[in-house]
Amino acid sequence: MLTVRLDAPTPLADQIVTGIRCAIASRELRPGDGLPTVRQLAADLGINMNTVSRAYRALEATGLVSTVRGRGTVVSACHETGGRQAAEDLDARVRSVLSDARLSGLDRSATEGLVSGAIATIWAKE
Amino acid sequence: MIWFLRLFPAFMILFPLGFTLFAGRHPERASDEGTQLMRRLWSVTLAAITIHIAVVALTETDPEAWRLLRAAWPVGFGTGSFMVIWFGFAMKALQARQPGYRNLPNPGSPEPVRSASLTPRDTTSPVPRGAWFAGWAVFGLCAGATGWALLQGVPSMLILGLAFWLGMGVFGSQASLTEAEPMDTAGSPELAEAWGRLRSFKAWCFYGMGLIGTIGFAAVAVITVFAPGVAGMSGAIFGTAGGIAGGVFGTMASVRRARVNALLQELGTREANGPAQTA
Repeated sequence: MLTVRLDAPTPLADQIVTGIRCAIASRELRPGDGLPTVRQLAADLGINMNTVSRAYRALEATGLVSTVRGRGTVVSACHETGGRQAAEDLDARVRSVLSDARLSGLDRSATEGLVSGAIATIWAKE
Repeated sequence: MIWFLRLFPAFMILFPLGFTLFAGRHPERASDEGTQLMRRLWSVTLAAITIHIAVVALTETDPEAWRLLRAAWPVGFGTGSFMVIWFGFAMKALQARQPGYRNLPNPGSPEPVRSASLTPRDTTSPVPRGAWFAGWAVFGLCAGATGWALLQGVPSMLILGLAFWLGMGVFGSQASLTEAEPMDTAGSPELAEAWGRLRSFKAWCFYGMGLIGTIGFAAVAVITVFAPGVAGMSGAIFGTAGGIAGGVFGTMASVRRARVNALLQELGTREANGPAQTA
């Protein structure tokens, strides 16, 4: 399931990208699974089709999804590269996110709760 | 058919009140104006049924003098009053007493948090491929029968029957598959199941109505060729049966939609109360 917040500072297209990335990472969506059509997702979320279309194009640019004739947008095979570079990139992003959390007034236990929850969601289906 | 013209308008007049009473009153979420709206519904229903009974009684005494009224009331104003009673009074009372019958939240509503399923629905129909194949085969037979009847000189408007399958069966069924799915932020499986049941029911009903509509029109066309004397009667019976079936389908879909709506509201309330209860 994908949830977006209209009142969040993050653009809607970015929220959709993050939501679908999360669904792929957590194995809610597996390689070969079809995504909803742009029309369906836009109707369900009550947002403009161009926003969903922009999000799908961004996902396609990263290689996470691809357009297959007759099937629409499908999840591509996962690229599990791993390695030292990926860990360094992640470390920098985690620090950035945690800094945001502290600057926005969240305390350590609340932040740990959120991070643990996210880890539990994404690694729910090993 | 006289008995039918007496009873059918009475049924149509009483149905909105009957349905509203059947739906009952929500013990917690019914609004205060429900009582007043019910009083109005009772008044207008009693007035309409009194007029109907009076018309029936008066036309019995002197059918010739009341010929125009006898013709106009049952087929026109009598059944037409259903629209006024249902949409003008019963729907308001129903929604005030049972908030579940209010419209589902518009996806474009100002709710800041919106959820959507990531499962493609457009291509997942509860009507299996074999049923579609059979439907198109029956449509082909009906088109052949109607075309043959037209060549024999039956009214050309009977070709409209073929539009039932194309419009209601194919496009109606497809439209029911692509309707926006209401979801709560927690992705309740209970809500998804209730919505799935409504969606499946609608898809099958549109399929069935489209198919039966086309078969009915083709049958009337063929009957008109072989037994023109009973063509009018068969058309009237088929038309009424179709109207009643459509009404039953619409009512059952409304009841299912009301369940989905009530569940959605309940989940929303539960979610809103959740943090407060734990604090």
